[in-house]
Amino acid sequence: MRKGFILYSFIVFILIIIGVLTVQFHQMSRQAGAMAFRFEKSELVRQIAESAIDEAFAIFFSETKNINSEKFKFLFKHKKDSTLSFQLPIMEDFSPNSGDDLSFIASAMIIDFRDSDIYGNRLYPGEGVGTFQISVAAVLKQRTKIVAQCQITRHHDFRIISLVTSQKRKPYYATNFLLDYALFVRCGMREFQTSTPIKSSYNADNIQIVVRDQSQIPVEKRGKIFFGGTDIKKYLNDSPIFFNVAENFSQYQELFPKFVPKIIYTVPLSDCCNLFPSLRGFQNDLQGMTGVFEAQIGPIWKSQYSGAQGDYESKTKEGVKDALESFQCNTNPGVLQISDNGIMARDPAYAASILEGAIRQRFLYTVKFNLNLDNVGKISQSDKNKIKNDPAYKLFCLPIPKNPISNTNIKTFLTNLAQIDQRDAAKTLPLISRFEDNFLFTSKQQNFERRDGSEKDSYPSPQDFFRKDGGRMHPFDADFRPYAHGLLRSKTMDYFDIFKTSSVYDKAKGELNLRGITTVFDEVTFQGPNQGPVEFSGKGVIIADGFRILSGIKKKATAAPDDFCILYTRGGNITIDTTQEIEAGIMAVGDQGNVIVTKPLKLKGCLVVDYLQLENWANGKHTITYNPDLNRSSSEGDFFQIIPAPQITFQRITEDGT
Amino acid sequence: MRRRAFTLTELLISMVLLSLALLPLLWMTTYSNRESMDAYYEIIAFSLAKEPIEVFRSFGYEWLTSYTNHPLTRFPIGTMVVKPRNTPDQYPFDSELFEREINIAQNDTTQNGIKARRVTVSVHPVKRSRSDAWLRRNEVKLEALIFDGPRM
Repeated sequence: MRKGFILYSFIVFILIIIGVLTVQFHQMSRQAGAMAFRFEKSELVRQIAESAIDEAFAIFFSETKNINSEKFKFLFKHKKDSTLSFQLPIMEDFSPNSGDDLSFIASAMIIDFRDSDIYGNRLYPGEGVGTFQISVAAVLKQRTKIVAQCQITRHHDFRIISLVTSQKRKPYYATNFLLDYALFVRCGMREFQTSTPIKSSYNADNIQIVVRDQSQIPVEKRGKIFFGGTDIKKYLNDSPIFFNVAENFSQYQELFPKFVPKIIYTVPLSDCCNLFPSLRGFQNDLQGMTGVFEAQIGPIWKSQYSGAQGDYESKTKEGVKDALESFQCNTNPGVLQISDNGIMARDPAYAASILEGAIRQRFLYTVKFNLNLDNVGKISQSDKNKIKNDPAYKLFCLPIPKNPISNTNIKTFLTNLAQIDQRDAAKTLPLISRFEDNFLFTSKQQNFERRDGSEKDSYPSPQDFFRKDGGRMHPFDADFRPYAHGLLRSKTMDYFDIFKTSSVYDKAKGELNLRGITTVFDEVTFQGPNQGPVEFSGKGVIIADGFRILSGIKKKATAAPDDFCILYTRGGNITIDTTQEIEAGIMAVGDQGNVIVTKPLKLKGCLVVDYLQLENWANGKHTITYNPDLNRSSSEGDFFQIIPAPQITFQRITEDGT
Repeated sequence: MRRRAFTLTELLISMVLLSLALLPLLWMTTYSNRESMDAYYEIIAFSLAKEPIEVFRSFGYEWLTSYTNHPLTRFPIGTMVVKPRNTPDQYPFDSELFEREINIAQNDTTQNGIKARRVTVSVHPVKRSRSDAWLRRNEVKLEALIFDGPRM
């Protein structure tokens, strides 16, 4: 009896142990099953959330291209801790498994904004680098129960840059201020005065640079022309840059100041005797004789000089040259035309709207001297004619040349002529021939009158600009760097090989996708497929060590009308080896940047260089058509661009579920 | 002296009772075993499904759209059995009990200029293998959208 009880007890005990272990095992297996289920669902939701946050960033990146979009305004205001909720249309249509109910909550928040560089220098108002947060929560439900949810939070930086500043903000130029110029030559005056060969002094008989007519463009949006060093405010004592008027412009009288008289001055017998001492012995017989100065103005360059008038003009020109220095002796036609109808500036208002600094036309002012014996009564008419037509008394009124004059008669004439010219300061017209460069391009309303060189006519000075160091306002000078703020650049690449396969430039397709400032530390070559142009869309700047442009650059048909492309090199060259149109701003400025133009240039944009270096330009006519989208009016306001950076600076993943 | 012992009847009754007591335990054990093995194989299957999606996501949309030009040998389009012994990667040995099928959609899913490409990965147990025996589901499937990154 007792043994039976023990045996039963033992069996029951064993059964209980087995039961407990079995239940434990069962619970563990159920937990494993639940864990597997949760693992699957949470991973599923995490994958969905990863896609969702990618979509959220893609939406921000895409929509901030549009300055009127909600996302652009949200980032542009960058009010700290402000939030913005938005939809994820693609992910909301995404259903991983039937029966699951998937929902998303997406929002963005401004974390920070910095409007100074690392040295504490303030950036242009409105520009800066900020950080914003995107947060996406994906929630998976079965019936009403939340099965799994995952929230991913990421931080991205964003840059706000002013790609084009408006007239309204011009007192605070951003580093894009050079876009205001159709033609800008930073070291213009230096090059004009010192370069060799002489063709670099902007007067050449086989090169024309035409800045095409902008009269149809609103005044505020016209591209200006400026040669550094001609700023009258800063370089008060310097000479202007001048362009010689050629004969094909001489038909346009508007180019010259008003000039009515032919006889400009008469001197008495005593002065005639001073000019020609040989007449002194005949003073009594020549009573009533006067000396007459006749003057005219005209082009400085003609293809040929013929006849007596031609001989007079060419000899006068050569005589004037003999008294001048280096660049002033260049009598070739001016290379610059500020409109394309063969004339530099007919309308003073138009010229004033696009020209800055002391930039003038130079024409030839000729004076010759004759003796007038009409009132002389003591000698016969034949003697009068003899004296009057004697070449010894018909001299050109020239300045005293640099080299000594061997002919004593001419030496005496010129020396005394200079004294007579100086004697009467009230004379309205000079008595000595000259290359006249004291008048602005358009002197339509001006009378030609004596100028002694102390009066300096000039177009308005350029605006001061907002420089990198300290954000102070500076007068326009050589010490500037366009697009100087590296922290505002959106993308940097080391080699052209990287660039040509990047999302910015697809060399195979010949496509440029521009947005913001891209830097390439290499020379960049542009050549479209099948000899066609490279096509671009978007608005942006490419900074490189140099450019070789072997085919045209053209805006894509699908691009926005105001999209533009700027190619900028600081110390390198931009070689343009194509006759196709280049729809881009070309900038080679900062450290001896140059352009090399091997074929007639057709540029639609702007040209900004340190030196023109015309010896690097092919002969022929080069045209610059200014793109008014590079200059915004006050009413348009600045064009700011926002570039969210794809780099993730912070990420947090939070998962939950049942 | 006559020794007392269990009668046959008693023995039979005891065995029946014991069997009745052990049967649920046996059932529980079997069920638990199946549940555990199912969870085990499901996690392996899901890990195998997740792997190519994560790799593809890290390479990005542009790379994915031309994937057939430069496929990764580990992630071929179509069906392939994972061979853990032939790769340096640390797969569980039981991975070879599964076939993985990768598909990339031919066309994009687009909305307002934003593009994404759908990747579908299905993992099936190899027929008549242990995984086929233990895994309750015929397939573990994972889908993801790989979005076009910013074009700058």
